[in-house]
Amino acid sequence: MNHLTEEQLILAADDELVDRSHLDACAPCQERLQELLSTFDRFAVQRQTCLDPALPPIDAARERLQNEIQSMAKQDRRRALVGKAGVAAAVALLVAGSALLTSTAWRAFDHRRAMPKASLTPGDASLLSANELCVAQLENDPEPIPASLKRAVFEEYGVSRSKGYALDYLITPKLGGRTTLKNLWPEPASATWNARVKDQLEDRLHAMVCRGEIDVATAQREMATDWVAAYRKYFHARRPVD
Amino acid sequence: LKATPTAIFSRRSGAPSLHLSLVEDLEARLKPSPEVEVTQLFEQLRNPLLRYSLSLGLAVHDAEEVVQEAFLALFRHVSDDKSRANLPAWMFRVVHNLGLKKRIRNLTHLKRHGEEKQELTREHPDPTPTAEEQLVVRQQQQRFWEILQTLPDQDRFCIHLRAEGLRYREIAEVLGISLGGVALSLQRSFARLRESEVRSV
Repeated sequence: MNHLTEEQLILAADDELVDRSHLDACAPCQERLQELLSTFDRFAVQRQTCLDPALPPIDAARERLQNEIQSMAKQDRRRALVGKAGVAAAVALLVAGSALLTSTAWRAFDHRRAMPKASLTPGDASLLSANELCVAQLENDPEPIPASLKRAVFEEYGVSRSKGYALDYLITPKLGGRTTLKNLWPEPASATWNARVKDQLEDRLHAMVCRGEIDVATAQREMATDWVAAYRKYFHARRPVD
Repeated sequence: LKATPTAIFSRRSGAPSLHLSLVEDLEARLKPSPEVEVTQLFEQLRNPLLRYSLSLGLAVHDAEEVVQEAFLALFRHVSDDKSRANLPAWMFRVVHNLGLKKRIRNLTHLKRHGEEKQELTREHPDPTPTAEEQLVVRQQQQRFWEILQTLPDQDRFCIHLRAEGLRYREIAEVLGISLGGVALSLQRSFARLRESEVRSV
């Protein structure tokens, strides 16, 4: 009689074994399964015994979280109220928008090519190795940008936080870009060279770094210097491809 | 709260259902606010998530930071009315990603500043009263961590997540690997644990 392999036992321990007929009829395999479960249980208990004394009390953490959540919720409500404002607010925004168009900050902002101002956003990145960037598979990292930093970026550019702009990294975190004032800028959503196009380039450079076709420093430099030129270079296209 | 396909259909066909709209209204009223939802999950998941962050090799204050950030991301997630499917597994995934990122950043910082590599997660206070007992517990802890250190990262992540009660399919989702990959990792971890148990006997 062929007994269950270790892998089949492991699967059985989580009800993932497709065919349980042998296990149900075989006492030695059932015993092995029990032994396996006991080993895992002992591990869980020992692990908890080691780690639990290190856990700080929950009360302070709960209070801190509730405070931050309340402040985020307040901001959301404020935003929703602004969204419901009537024609008067829309007119006011229009006026404010025209004022911005004539402001110095805006004029220095290359709207057509969606490039950040080099003096305000030179780029900021960590010197990570390709292995660190790729092995960890951090593509979907949901790390939030602090609200205060977002505000600072928009203020720096003299741009209102309307729907026409998306806050974007100059050097993406996928390539080691950091969440700092030097690496964030308001990207006009309506530009031909917009955030979606930039994402394509970021994905391509990240993949190239992981395949060893380009080093991390070069990819960071390409993003920081002129991402539109980099796009043309790596996509062999003069205009964004679909 | 999203309307069910039936509710949408009855509205489009020009015969709005009073009953459905009342049910929807009631459901919307009974639905907990994002604040309440997050607070409830915090009570349930804070310690397991914190333990997992420590298992990734983070110091206590970094682990707390990561867990805090993850709960803020959860608040944003539920406020935007995104999927509630298996939020605990989703939280472990967020903590896993943030934790690894933090670990990489810490290591880079240490490398850049030429400091000696420090043990990041061994600062567990010991509640045992006598010095002798403390020594025994410390030795046990050290042996425990040494066994774990011999495992590859993925195997270690798998066994820690299993110890927190995650199902294999959830572990696979958290780590972005296949179910077979989880089974293989756990198989190696099990062999290592059993070997160390036999040796200590």
